[in-house]
Amino acid sequence: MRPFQLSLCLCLIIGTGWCAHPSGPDRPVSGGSGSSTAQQHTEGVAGQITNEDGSAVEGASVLAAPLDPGGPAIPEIAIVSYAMGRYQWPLRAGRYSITVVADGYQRGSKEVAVKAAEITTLDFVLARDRRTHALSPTIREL
Amino acid sequence: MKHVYSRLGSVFGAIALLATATPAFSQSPHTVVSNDGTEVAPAEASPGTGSATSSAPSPGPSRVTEQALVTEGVFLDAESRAEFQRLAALPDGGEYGVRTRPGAIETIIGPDTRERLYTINYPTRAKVLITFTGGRCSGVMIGPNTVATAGHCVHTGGPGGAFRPVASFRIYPGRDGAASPYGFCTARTLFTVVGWAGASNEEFDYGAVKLNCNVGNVVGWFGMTTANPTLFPTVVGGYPGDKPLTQWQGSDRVRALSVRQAFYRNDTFGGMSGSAVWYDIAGPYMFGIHAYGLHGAGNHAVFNHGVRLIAAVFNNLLAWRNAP
Repeated sequence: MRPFQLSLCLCLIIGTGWCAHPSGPDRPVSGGSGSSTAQQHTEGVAGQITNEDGSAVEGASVLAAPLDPGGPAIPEIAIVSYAMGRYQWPLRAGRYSITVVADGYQRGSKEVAVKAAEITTLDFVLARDRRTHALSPTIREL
Repeated sequence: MKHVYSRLGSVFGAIALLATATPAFSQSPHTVVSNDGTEVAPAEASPGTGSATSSAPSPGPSRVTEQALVTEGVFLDAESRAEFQRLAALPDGGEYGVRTRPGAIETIIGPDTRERLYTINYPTRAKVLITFTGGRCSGVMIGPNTVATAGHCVHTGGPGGAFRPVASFRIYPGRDGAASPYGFCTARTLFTVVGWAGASNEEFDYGAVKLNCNVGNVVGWFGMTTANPTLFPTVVGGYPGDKPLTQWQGSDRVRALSVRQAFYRNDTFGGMSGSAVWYDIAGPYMFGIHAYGLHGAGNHAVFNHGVRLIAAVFNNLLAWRNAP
């Protein structure tokens, strides 16, 4: 029996989900260096964060909140914009509120519908916060 | 006909092969996986009081010195040294808190009651900021060179997921705004379990980072306990993404429990994943790892929550801590 025929049999028996991951869901997980979130997930939100001048805003926190009742669990990780102000948020299909928080800028917030097996592009242009370090905590020594 | 039998034989052969090729379907979801294939067997937990097991906290030395940090392999730059000196000059007991203004988003339940903490003292200095390409999390020292955190902070989870790039990790104990008074360490190995890496199951969303330094010998580490946390007070502190890399915490109590998760109303925010859920009983004892805000239905929809340190979780954390 040729390898292809064997694979075909296995696919027919247990469904296409297994075929998408040929080594099976019990595969050893290794090789952490170099892989990233966006390279592995096929649905979610990705985009670029810039300011009014068009400059990239790096280090901004991108937060997601589900809008659908009974929505999926969203880990409380802080997704952060990196080089060129880009960010990637792997999210399951559904509606979300995406909020961007960056020191020295006003918060940006948008709603987005993520479709299955699609990366939805969502860019933000942040306005500068005229208040000095509005997001910085005020320290009061007790 | 012979041809048909041959095909049937192939199918049954394939089924047999599949049965032998997928032993992990019967694996415990707490089975350990690591980014570099490091294998760690769960440790034998030391018996604690009653039916619970525990591991003691360590406050580290009463006086932290730069030399001690350097000796333990911590990266210290000029800015870190200056900040260390500034914090060292603050009065002892300098955990100054301030309530933030009310009104926030996501998992602030009611008024925002988080308090900012300075990081000069133990245990605040034993809580860490974790950064990696594209994200940030929180964590807590549980040994000289081991940080406990959420599984999703080290692995994206589920089919198609992957370990986050280990080379991009920076772990900052007691980070305080723009400065890192205790420097930072890099990551050597990332750990989580099959239940998270293979299935994205939030009930198994825990992991650890093995460091390339022994900073825990300087900043100390948290204790851990499997004690039943019914009605325990809850303290959850970490690095929320809406604050500029400063440490904040909220207090509450356990509101509900499931077999594998604890639920509470501590205010949390994106970035606080991996924070210890702990309380002070002769030192800080962690009994949960924060990971989620509000979602779904039932307790998940009204309380923030994270994995409980049941025996299997405790044993893995201990094994990761004790691993070379």
